[in-house]
Amino acid sequence: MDRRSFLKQSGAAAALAGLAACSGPTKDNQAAIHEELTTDGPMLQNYPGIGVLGYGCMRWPMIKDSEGKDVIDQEAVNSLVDEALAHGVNYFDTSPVYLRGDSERATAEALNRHPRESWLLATKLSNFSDSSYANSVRMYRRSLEIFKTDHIDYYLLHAIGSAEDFKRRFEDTGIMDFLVKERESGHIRNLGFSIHSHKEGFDSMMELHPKYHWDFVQIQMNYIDWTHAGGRNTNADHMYEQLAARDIPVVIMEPLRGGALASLTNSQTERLKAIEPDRSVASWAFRFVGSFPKVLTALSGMTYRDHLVDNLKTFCNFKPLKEEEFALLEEIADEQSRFPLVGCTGCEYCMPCPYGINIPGVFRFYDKSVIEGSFVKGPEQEHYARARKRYLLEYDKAVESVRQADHCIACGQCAPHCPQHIRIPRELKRIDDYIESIRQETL
Amino acid sequence: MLRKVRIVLAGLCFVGITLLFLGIGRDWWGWLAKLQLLPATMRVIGGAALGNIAVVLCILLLTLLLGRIYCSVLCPLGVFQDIVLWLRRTLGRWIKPLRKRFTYNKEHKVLRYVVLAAFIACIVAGVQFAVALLGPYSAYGRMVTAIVGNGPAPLIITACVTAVVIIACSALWGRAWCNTICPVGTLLGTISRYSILGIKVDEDKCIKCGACSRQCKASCIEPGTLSIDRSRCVDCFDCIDSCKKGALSFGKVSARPAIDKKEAEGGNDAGRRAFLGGSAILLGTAASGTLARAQVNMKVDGGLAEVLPKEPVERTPGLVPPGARGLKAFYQSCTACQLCVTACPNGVLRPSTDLEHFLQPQMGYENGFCRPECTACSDVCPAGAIRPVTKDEKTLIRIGTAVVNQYLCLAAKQEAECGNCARHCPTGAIIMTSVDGVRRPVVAEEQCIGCGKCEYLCPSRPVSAITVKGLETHISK
Repeated sequence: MDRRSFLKQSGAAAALAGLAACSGPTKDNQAAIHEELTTDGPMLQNYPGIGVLGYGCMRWPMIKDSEGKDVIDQEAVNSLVDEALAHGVNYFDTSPVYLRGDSERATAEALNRHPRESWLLATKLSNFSDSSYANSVRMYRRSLEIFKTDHIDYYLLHAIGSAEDFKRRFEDTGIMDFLVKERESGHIRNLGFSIHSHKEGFDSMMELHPKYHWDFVQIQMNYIDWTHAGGRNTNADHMYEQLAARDIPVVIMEPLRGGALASLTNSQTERLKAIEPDRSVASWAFRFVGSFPKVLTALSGMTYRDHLVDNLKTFCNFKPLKEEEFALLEEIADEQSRFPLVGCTGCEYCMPCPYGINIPGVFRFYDKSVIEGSFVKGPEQEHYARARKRYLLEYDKAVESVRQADHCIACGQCAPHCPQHIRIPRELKRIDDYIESIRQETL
Repeated sequence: MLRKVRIVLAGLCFVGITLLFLGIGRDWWGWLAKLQLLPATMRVIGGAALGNIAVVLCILLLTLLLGRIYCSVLCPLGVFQDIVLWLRRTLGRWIKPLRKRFTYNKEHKVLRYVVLAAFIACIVAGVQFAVALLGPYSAYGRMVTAIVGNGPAPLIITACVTAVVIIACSALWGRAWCNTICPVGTLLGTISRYSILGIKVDEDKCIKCGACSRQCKASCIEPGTLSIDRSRCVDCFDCIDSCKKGALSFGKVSARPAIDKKEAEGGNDAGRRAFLGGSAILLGTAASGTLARAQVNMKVDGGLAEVLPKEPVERTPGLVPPGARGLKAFYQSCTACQLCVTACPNGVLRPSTDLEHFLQPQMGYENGFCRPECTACSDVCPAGAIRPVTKDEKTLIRIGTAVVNQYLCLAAKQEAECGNCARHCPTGAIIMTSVDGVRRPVVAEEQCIGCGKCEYLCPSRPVSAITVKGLETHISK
């Protein structure tokens, strides 16, 4: 009998494994689960012709190619783009450096299947490593080439870190004059910048408005960053007010803080669901940014169709937040700011780490455990042994052991790239110490 | 009835031990491994532990009382052979060529005792190789471990050869392996030859039909003379059920050995050829093609840098776990059952592939290190090769010493301000110090316990700049 059941089980397992091997990388069958959208209203527009829901092209879905490498799932990108365009999402934001330098190509391939006038292209001058005039011009021309177009609708100076950073990368190299000329000749329709900086840096960029006339500015804004940006980041309320005062359209990045605001603590979720039981937790973050009239568009890196559908539900037939709902989100932001979160948005600007550490992976795992309350508190907690075992197991599952925090040698190469100004080695050490104390049961 | 009891007990033990080798439910059936004769004997030889002496004595006394019940219930390899036989018999109902009855064979007495003598000589001489190959418990453990796909090529190959030999032997000749080659079988057979209880024939009821003889997988019932060779009978009780006249029963038998007069010529049973293959570990380094990027210089975002797997390091002296007391003591007691290899949650223990310690475990820190809070191997070892240690004791036992290779060290080469080894050393044995104006790690030998955390976390790949070599004799701090 033991033999028989053993054979049965191993036979079934082998058959399953065989099936899995034959079917290859699994992909959602987009047609089969096509959910009818309840888009009885039009897409929200604050500025005519531009949907307030914009597509962030930094998080396209990936699949494994025949060699087992991660590549962009072009088929999925195409169908996401088609569906987005059909529902009034027409602003697409990319950069030459996104997704290992492959985002522009994949985005162009999907968009060029549609007439040029049906979509708005936003891309960036990401001249971080080589900011020379020649290299910057090449980067700009390459974007035009990839999109097979003669104009870029929104061109951004990518991730200004400070006044000095702007001066070094854009003014001193002379590339600012070039870009202004390109705007005059119509190859750049709107010239602006994205910024991750302290308040002084932002204010000095505002002082340059009379000189360069920023057509738009891209800022990180969500109900956490509104007044709890933390570290050396500028609160979004200040930036928004400054921009609104100058009548500069605002593009929002990280409205969901890298997905962090899609999942809150139980009590927070409860309070939101009590008001809108059928709306997702994430929808609140989008309703927050959508409620500001100067918002040109809010970028969401919708990797999966579920994300797109959920966001469309929010922005078609949009309901702005009421006074008391703003207050509730402010309350939640207050609570969140007291958690020991890392605050990584998973943008992967720090990656690849030369020593192979999966930095965003470690941070995502840790922050998630803090928010969800699954972190290990100590031997006195209920079901401590089970919680400990589960936590360690999940860590190993979330991050391959050779890419975990303990392998960080604190070389510090990552830190300057972080737009959130996270002290990456220090945070990795903090998490490693915590996890090691769980392993050794010395918590 | 007796047969059914035997089958149930054997099934439970077999499933338990198999799960144990698969690493499941150690807390529930870990004790089963401690009841294995050979590992327990090795433990006694290696230095007495009261519990193990008791186990050995109990098994021997049990055999003297009941015969070789051990071989039918506790020995996983024996039960495995019974399963093969059951399978053959079941399939034989439909597939004619598989239908086969057993016939009485003479005892291959000379071969049996030569093998046993040679085996004992090997233990005395410390040729653990033989213990690993012939020990029934180890042989079974090897097979299970290999099925799960753990272990290096030589282990899997040896396991496959073992499986083929055992399955062929049992399918063709029943318990011939146990009654000819297996040293444990011979030892217990010697005792059971004189056992108090045994199978006996009621001459009044017996019609000499020979059904029992044809049913006997040990081929030990001589049909004409009604004599049963108790040294080979494994107490399976199949014969009792096979007798339609109820002539066979299990009970007290006369003190005189059943068969002691006949000399048997050594037959040529299936031998075992040890397959020794050097392991060729090929590290496939995927050629990383860089995309042509229209002459624009940029650092692109995202993705994971390739992490080269670490190559196994030659360690002399070798590394064995805390609790082993030293290389010699460890290798003398270990029966290469692979239980510790299965139990190690850190990927540290693996079977050795060198000839001297073939299939006996050794340590390596390429995929993990010997974690301070883990005592899994010392908890499971049935042979006393790794003695039980507590977590606190463990961190005080020096099993090896870390050695820095300054030609690989990123800090010494001034390629990075690293110090990851010093930062993580649990005993503070590694110090970052200035040597000729260069900050690099040095090791305070006496502080180092050889846990390998430094080696595992060293960023130098594929060979760590800091590696641990073993200590011949472990030292308690």
